[in-house]
Amino acid sequence: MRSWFRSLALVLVASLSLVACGGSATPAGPASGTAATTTSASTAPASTSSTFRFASQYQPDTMDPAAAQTVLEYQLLSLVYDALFTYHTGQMTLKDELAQSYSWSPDGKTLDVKLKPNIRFSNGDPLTARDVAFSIQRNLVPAVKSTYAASYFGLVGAQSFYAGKTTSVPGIQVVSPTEIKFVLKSPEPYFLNVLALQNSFILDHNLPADTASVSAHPMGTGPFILKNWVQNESMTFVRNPKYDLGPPAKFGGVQVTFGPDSNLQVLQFEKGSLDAVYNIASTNYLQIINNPKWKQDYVQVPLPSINFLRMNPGIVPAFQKVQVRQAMNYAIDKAKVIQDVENGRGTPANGPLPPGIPGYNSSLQPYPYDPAKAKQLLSEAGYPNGFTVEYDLVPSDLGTKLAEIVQSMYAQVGVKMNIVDMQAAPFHAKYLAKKIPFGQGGWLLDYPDAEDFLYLLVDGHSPLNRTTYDNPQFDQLVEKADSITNQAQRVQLYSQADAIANQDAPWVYLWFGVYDGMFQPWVQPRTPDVLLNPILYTNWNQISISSH
Amino acid sequence: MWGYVARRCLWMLVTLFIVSIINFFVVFLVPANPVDAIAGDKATPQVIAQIEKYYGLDQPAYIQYLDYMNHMLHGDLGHSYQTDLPVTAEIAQRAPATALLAITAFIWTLLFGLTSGFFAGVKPGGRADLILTTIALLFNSLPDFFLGVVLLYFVAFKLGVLPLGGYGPPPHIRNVILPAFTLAAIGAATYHRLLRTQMAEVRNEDYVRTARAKGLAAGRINVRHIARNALLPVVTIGGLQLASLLSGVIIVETVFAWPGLGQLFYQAATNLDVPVVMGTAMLSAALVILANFAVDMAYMLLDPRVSYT
Repeated sequence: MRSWFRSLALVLVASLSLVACGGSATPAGPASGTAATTTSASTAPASTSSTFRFASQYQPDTMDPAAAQTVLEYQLLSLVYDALFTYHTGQMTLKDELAQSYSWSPDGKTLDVKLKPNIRFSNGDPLTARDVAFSIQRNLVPAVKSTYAASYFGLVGAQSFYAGKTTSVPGIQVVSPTEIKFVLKSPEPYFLNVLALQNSFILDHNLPADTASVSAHPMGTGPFILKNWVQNESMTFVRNPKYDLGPPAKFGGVQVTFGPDSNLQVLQFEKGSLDAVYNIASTNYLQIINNPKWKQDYVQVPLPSINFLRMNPGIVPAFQKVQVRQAMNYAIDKAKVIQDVENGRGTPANGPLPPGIPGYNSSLQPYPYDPAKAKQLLSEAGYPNGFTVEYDLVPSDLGTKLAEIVQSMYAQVGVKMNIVDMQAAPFHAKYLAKKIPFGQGGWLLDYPDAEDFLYLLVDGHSPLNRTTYDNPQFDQLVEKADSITNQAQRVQLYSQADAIANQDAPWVYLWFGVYDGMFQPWVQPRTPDVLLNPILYTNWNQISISSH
Repeated sequence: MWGYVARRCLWMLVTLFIVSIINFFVVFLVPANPVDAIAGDKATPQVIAQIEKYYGLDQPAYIQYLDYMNHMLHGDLGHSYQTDLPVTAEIAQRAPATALLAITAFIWTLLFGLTSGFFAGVKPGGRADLILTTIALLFNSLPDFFLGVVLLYFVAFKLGVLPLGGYGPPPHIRNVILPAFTLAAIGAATYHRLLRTQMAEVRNEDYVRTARAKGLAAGRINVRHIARNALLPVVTIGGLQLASLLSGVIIVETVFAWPGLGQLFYQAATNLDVPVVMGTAMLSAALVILANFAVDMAYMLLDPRVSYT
């Protein structure tokens, strides 16, 4: 759930790697993705001594799971760590990872988890329930500065502990070395997803717990070990010989180089010095797609993310009228926006919830491009001559491009949009204070549950709803769905809420994003969901490198 | 003279102190909370308040400043909000890379600029002047990111004779060539023009005419009488430019994936990572102040007429 905001360019899918998230879900299967197959490579034997090499412009801020928040951090941490739960490849469904089994109490408030037996950390220490309690509770230690702390506030006593009023969290109970209990204040049917977040990766409680030590020496039960971290230059991972969760990784190690921007990464890839490039920049995309050889290496999957424009009725009175909000949607030619901003990478959005997330309402149509209808609705709302609105923007290549495109579309229906350029920090302050009148927004899932989108972003009671929009009918449906355990009923309620959001149009819905990258032909298998898992980002255990 | 040096040193400290106040409070003029910028979208108001408290950001600005100065006087520049690492460690990790790049680039800049400026200045309007000045203008008009990308593409990617960016293994010589050349090719134009113009001016001085009248060889006049006197402003500009290279390398460091201070500062400023912004800004200010001091001292050595009391 992190909106891509933190690093400005964020909101657009191309800047994915700069921001963070956890998350899941892909409606995928090979049919929804595109990947080249290379027959010669696919028949070559896998090389277990090979190193998988990729690059990132910036090194991670932290390797402490509880403090992590970016996609890169998730990718790297998942080499070293495991969580109690994870996701099936290509699906939005959970599966056990360190957990052997789990059960919910009938009231949906108590979760009992049994751990898999005989699992060791890479230093040889056995995994116990104390490690689990320690790792989850770390998110609530203020000194760790977990920005996901609120995800664990549903646990009994979590908020008091976080505020420093108590010294333990009664909602986390070690039952035996292999069993742990989580007690919630009220039912949170999405809580298993919280336990699959990177912030819930399990650490060894015998090691120093301060975030600087954990970050400098990450150590978990995962398939790899961090062997070497040269600050600002590279990280080297080698296979964990004590990996107990399954067969060892199919290649010998991972080498991550820090520094190269997107252009340089593409050149290094073509020179053969990188095996993968993640998140192709808009500027490189056409160059790759128009080159027969490079095109073969390009892979794309749908990403559960939404790009939109936020309308703030508390600042702009016109946005209080549903006709105006709908008109703002009708006035946008989504296909042209996607083409111009993302070179066509994305699908028009029909509401706040991306496809694949349970509750997504596929019967809803995206607002068609209809300037006449927009003008008519503006007239009905009492704005026959349109109105003037301020659009706050932190300038970036894609953000500025998007602003200019929608500005010209709004001009055609009489809405005068003044673009106000701002520095990132003041923009963010205004944003948190719900003072942005009109501006772009983006959200990438943390986990494949509609709560992550509908409650967090749109519900009037959510602290993360960044406008004053509030629809009591919508809130009622979503809050009910958030609190009941019957999954079928939840999906139905979310689906109804999605329909309300479509009609009531709190946002201008733009597009659902994609996740893309380039992979050398020797990186196998050529299954898009394995190479580019939109929830896990990379399936380290399934990738292999054939001899080349 | 020593009294002057001592007074200058005292003033340098006072200047640094004033710079520290300005730097610190400029950050507070930004209508934003550093925690907002680092906490990400997921943080609720309670989480933000807790992080603020952890960093002491809930205290009044002057308390924060006094606390900061107290730590700084003990050699502690605080911890990065972003990475939690000590700022001194962050700077120390990146300083060698920037120093290598800046010093190499500076030497090449002088080498290219002064050589071409000299030959252009020997006979203004001549063929050498025309060719060299055109080349200097061409490079001076190129944006550094453009020249950097072009060099990377043709020299490193197509020809493959030098590495495709990065810091490389010690002593980093193959890797420093392209970024240093980019900075030097663009910066050299300044010295080219400066020396060329100065030489044209000095050429008409009485002592040059006297030298000519004495029958001295043209080469000797050009080197000993004209160029030497034309170099004084070059020292001024050179001193300041060396100090400003710290900030000037930001873009080139990014294009060439060079792990230096420029990138650190840029990221910190974007994220309102106050301790890192303060640390790098103070370092930069200290370098400028020292460079000014060095320039004044150099004047004394170069021009016997200049004396300080």
